[in-house]
Amino acid sequence: MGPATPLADTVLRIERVTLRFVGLTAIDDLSLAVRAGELLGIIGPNGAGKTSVLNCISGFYHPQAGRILFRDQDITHRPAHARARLGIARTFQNIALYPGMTVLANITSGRLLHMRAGVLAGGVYWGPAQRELVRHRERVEEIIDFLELEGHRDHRVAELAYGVQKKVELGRALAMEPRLLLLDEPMAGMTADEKADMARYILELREVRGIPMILIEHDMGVVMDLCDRLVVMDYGRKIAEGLPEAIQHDPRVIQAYLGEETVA
Amino acid sequence: MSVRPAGDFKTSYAQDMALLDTALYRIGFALLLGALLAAPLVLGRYLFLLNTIGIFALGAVGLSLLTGFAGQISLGHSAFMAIGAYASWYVTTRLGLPFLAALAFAGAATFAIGALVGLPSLRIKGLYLAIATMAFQFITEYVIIHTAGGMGGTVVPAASLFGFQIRTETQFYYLLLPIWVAGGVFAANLVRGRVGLALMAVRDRDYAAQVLGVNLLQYKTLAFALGASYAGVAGSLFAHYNRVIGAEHFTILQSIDFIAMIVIGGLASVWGPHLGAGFVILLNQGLRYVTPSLVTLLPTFARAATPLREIVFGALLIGLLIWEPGGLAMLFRKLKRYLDLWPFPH
Repeated sequence: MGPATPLADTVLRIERVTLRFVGLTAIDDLSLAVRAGELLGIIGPNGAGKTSVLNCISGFYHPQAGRILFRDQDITHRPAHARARLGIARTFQNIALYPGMTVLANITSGRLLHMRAGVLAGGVYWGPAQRELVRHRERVEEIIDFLELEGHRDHRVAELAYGVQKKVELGRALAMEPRLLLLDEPMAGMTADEKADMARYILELREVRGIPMILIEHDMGVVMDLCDRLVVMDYGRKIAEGLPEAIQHDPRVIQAYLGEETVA
Repeated sequence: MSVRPAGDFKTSYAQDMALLDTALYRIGFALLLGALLAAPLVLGRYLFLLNTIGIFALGAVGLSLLTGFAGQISLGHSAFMAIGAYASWYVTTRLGLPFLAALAFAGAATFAIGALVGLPSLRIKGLYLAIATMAFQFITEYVIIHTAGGMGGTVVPAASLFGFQIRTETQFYYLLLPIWVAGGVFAANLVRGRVGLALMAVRDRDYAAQVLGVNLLQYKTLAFALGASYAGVAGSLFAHYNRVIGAEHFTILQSIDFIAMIVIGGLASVWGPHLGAGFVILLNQGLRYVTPSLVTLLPTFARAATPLREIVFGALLIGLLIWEPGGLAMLFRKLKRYLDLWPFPH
């Protein structure tokens, strides 16, 4: 497969990326693009390399071949923190919050890259540092309102139910005001009600805020309903790409991923 | 979860983020400051205890930033104190500059050296970092012994402030107190703001911190630099307080004492290092007073008396780790919560 066609409104472009671990090719010559305001789903069986793709985008893994371009900048060799500063935010499959800190502190940590106060201003506190903290607190409270976390504001994350923790992690990523949001199984392990809430948040983020997103999710109903476009992976390779309806009937996908004739 | 008294309403985020967020705390802190100001009147010849506690509390604040808040273990904290002490000696005697310049220089020099020592912390973690900092401790001791006149000690002049010589315990106390309080408040402010949040993010989950845009190398070296700088200031104060400094004042045992202080006081706590330093120094002195009388009462006890300090320390640390890993600061918080809720259990 050749490199993705350059599009004027492309936010992220992965060009022929190959990632190998000793004896294992996790990603094999993968190209994909995320367009402005788009919700792109990546699906595939366990071990297909979906999370590895996110890890390449956020800078934890460094592919042996290929390029990653974010808003026309080559970020292939940028460290993870620099990519975050460019506006790439993510959540993790198995929640990477700070369990000992409150919900407020966790979401505020998403504002770190927008804060400026240095050591001296921070130590003196009264003055610029305090004004800055108040300003960012207002943004954090907006996110707490949006995700309906008001009652948990001062709770330590470790005390919270799993579904609530997932919401907090989304909140922390949103606090970064991302230009690209990577969601790694945001609904795994949730109840049906919690899933519905999460789907509502994701849709609102796309419709109202226009944040481009990559969504990895195993719940096919959710993926088919929410995503604008799907990329299907198997053994590190892209085996199909297209609109959800087309993917549902693509024989390669059915064979590789679902293994049966009908799609749930 | 925090418990707030009824009728205590916050009407702005600034109020909600205040360091002393209830009237009771504010009154309590004012009383504490008043008591500290009046302490020389009451303590008399025991004022040296408070002077010692203040100096070591400042050093412990540094280690608490490094270990408690940033999660980096250091067995070389007293080496930074040594560097601060000798820097201060050099600036006042060889360069003939006033004490305040020496204090500032000690803080700045240890900040820079701390950053350098912290550089490997990106690659080595946990126990290996402890070993690396221990190496730094031994190198520093070695350098002191072989360059600054050996074990005999170096005489440091009394601190002088705008031509006024600071000679008595009381005079030194009033020099130390503002630095002590300012240093404590500075650290407390720092950890509730951007820098503190970033340090804790690095401590609790470094890969998540990276995803939040935190440069690990930058913040780990910053933590080392800040921690070292506090130790350097404490070392400078110690030099002008003790007036004699030598390698024996800054051994690895002193570094371990610093760790004991922040663990006993409460690791990631603003009050912890102060409480811990107070506890460790009072315990040291207390045992020094008690041991001789114990030996006269129970002569068979004499053989156990020499390592009594180590035994009591070890037992205390183990006890704390088992029953209250949050340290003295957590005990105080629990006591306050109990009193707030009394007579109800929850």
